[in-house]
Amino acid sequence: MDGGLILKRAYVAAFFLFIFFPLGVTVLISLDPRDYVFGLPPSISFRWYQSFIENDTFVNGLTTSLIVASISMIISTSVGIFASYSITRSGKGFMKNLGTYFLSPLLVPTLVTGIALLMYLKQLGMLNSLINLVVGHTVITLPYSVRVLTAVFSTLDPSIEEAAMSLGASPLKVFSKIVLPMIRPGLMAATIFTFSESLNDYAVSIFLSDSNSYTFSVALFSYLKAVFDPSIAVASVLLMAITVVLIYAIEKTFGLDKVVGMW
Amino acid sequence: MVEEKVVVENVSKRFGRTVAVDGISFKVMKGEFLTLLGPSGCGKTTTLRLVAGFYKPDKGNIIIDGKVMNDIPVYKRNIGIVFQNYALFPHMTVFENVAFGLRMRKTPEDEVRRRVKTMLETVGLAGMEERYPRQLSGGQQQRVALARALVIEPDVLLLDEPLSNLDLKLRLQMRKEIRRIQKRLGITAIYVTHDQGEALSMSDRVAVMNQGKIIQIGSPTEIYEKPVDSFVADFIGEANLIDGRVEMVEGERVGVRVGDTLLETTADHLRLKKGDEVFVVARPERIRPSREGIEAVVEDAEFLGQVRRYYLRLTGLDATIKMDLVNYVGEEINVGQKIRLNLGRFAVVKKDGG
Amino acid sequence: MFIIFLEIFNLVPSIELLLRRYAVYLLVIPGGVFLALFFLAPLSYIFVVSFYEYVGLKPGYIGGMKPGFVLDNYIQFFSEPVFLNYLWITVRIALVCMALTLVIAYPVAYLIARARIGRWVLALVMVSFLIHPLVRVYAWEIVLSEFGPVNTILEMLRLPKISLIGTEPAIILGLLHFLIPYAVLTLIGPIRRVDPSIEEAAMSLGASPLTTFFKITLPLTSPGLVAAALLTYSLGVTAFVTPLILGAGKVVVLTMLIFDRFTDTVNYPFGAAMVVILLIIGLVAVVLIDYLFKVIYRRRPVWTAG
Ligand SMILES: Nc1ncnc2c1ncn2[C@@H]1O[C@H](COP(=O)(O)OP(=O)(O)OP(=O)(O)O)[C@@H](O)[C@H]1O
Ligand SMILES: [Mg+2]
Repeated sequence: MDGGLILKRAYVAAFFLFIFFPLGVTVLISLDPRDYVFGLPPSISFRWYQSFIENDTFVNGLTTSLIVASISMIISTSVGIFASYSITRSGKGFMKNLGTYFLSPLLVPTLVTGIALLMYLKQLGMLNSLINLVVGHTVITLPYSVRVLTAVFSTLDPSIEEAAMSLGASPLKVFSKIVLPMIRPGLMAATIFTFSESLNDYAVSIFLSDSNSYTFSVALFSYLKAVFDPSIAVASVLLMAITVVLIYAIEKTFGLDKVVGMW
Repeated sequence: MVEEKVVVENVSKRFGRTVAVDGISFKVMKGEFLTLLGPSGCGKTTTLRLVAGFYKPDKGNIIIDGKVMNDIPVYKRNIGIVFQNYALFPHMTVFENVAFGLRMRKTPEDEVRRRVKTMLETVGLAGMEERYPRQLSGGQQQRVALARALVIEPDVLLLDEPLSNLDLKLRLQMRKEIRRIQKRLGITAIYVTHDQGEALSMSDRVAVMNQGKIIQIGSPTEIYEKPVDSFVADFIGEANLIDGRVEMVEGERVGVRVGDTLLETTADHLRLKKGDEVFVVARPERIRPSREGIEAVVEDAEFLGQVRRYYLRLTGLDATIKMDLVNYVGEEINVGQKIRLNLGRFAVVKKDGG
Repeated sequence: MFIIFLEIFNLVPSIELLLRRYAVYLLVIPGGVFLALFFLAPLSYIFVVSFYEYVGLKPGYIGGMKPGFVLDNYIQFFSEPVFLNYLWITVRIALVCMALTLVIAYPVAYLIARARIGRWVLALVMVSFLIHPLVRVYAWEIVLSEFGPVNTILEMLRLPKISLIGTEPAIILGLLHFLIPYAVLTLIGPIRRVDPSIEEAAMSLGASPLTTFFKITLPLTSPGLVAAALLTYSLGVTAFVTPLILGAGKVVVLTMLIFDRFTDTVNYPFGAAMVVILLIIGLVAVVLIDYLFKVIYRRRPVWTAG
């Protein structure tokens, strides 16, 4: 191994150290029996895990988050399928620009989207925070599903659909028997993208939550602002675990390689 | 009685400003194999897709079995299509691919099984039922595509350059296969290609297209021997186009002056008049050195395997023509030498615009 | 009546034909309408509200706003030095983050793109990119805390302790933790698209590795670099929790002011005006940076590349 290679590896390793050292520390804190930070934990304890589970705010937030993420994931991917199919298959000037239109929420910081929705929905008299959360999360996740699915559809050869049609399949049959099965991996990737995007959001959630429905992020945020509490570390560990699982799922269904640059 | 299976009646199709198909008409008889031949962009694919129903004609009618089909969508016509890239369903096995059309027609499952099996035997793929398209060679995929299109017993089989993704050897073999199967099933076929060898060797009739129009339609021999214009003459086979002028018309017999030589031939289909400016279409492989005839100087010679090709400058004319000699055993021909030529059987076409 | 019915019946086939022909276009409608209703409309609304009058918190006035068209909110923002100072801090942090991110991330992306490393490296980058923002903030809060690991290590090395929480460097560190993986992922694609044989050709023609990098690799990847720069800058400007928590109230950025006007000191019109300002400083920089790169590398602007 030459010096250059060692240097290169060391550089990449330093990058990963920078990223993962703080996360590792968080894991240690979650296992620390003490309620203050000082050096390494003297022993391992699941005390904070216990208090995390018993914490209603966290549990409620997590439940709401899972509900909101699931519903907005379903809406975003199903609406996204139709939109992306239409955009890639009609392929004319105006429709191509629609692609940009569907991606436009990505250009606006989610904090702004959240504020805008807060004012707008209040003005409309929409006060059900659970519905509002779903609406907000659908707005921010739809672009991701459109982005993944247009990429997937554009790799599909339209003559396959034409072949099916020539064999007597109506447009609906072509879609259900040919298109859907072929894009299944991409569809999985889209659902995972949108789910994880919804789970990771805090900016939109902060503005659209109230005491009836608040997401996990909002629960975490309120704790983070208040006191030092190692059960936040437990919440962090849980979120990290979810991230790892989602990435594993993408790799298994779609391949990470193809996802680079799509996010 | 021969039925008219497909009738294309004065059909036009434009895309924005491009006129892809410009008022073409032709008929395909039951069981006939018609080829649309022409250079890239001349509208072959568009014509085929109009017959298939992917496009609606701007003008004119598409008639299949006596019924106007203009407003019938693809999936309600009974048509088999073989695509250039096969367009096999990647998520289905060979069996499922071939069975797809039958299942769309709600054919009973035991009949599906029987017919798919027979069809796979016909195309020589027995035993491959459970494979996926990606596990097949190009030629095998081609056969699946063919079987899939044929198993539904379509009114017409449409093929768009189906062989262009295969290597030369397989291409030659599949030409024969497709023709054999088409004849055996007695199916009506429209075939698109820009490969004239394919067109001439497979078809009952060939329609030569250019710029959205059909220039000539006829049997391969007709097209080759009696091109209607210089485009067809030049596009089909190798051709030397030599300037000439009609000097004599007597019934079918026509006398054409080339340089100071008067050549005689028959040209019944052109309605030539004395004084018409024409091209003499001389095929390189028919030209022979001779004791009399047009005089030429050998400018260059090339060795192309079995064929020896000579470039000859015609004396008194501003033209260089090609002569191909196969297994030539006559006197040796050297560059710079002066020889006389017999053009062999040749055709005459009017100059463009004439 | 009956005749009309028949007429309609006659129309049915042509309606069916029309539907079939345009069905593929109709599919965009649900998503398109949804975004128009819940994204474009709210965004336009906030723009409108930024010109409303603030009348204080009174019943009947949501967020203390009264419809109208006044420039008060903008005038207030630009006439008070405090706000301008906060604006400058916001931009400064974003610019520093952008510069550091590009310098650090480019080599990482290059090494990952070029060395055919296994999938797990990509997976790690992906994890580092997708970690929840609040998890990062919490982690850095601990790492930088008074008795946290950084100070423990400094102590072991007999170096003076530092307390970064509540300073700009803390915020920048926290943001880099997110921005670097983001930039790495943005850059891997463009770098991969550069055929290594182009670099080899340059070297075969006598270019040193360094010259090759600056004359060949960098220009060829510049669209990706611009994209990464724009993204990191705008993410930096609009960051919220990281400055809030790691700044511990001692460093104030624009997003925190905005948040405050919509939650605690409710003043929607002024908040909306600051939102518009936030969007504009994002866009202005986007145009500027892009123009710069265009001048340097003579290529068309990124946003036209889509
Ligand atoms: N969907 C379309 N939209 C716009 N223009 C088209 C479309 N399809 C074909 N054209 C244009 O119509 C003309 C005829 O095209 P067509 O595909 O029928 O040619 P072709 O004879 O099949 O050519 P090739 O041998 O290259 O396949 C071309 O100029 C082409 O650019
Ligand atoms: Mg074609």
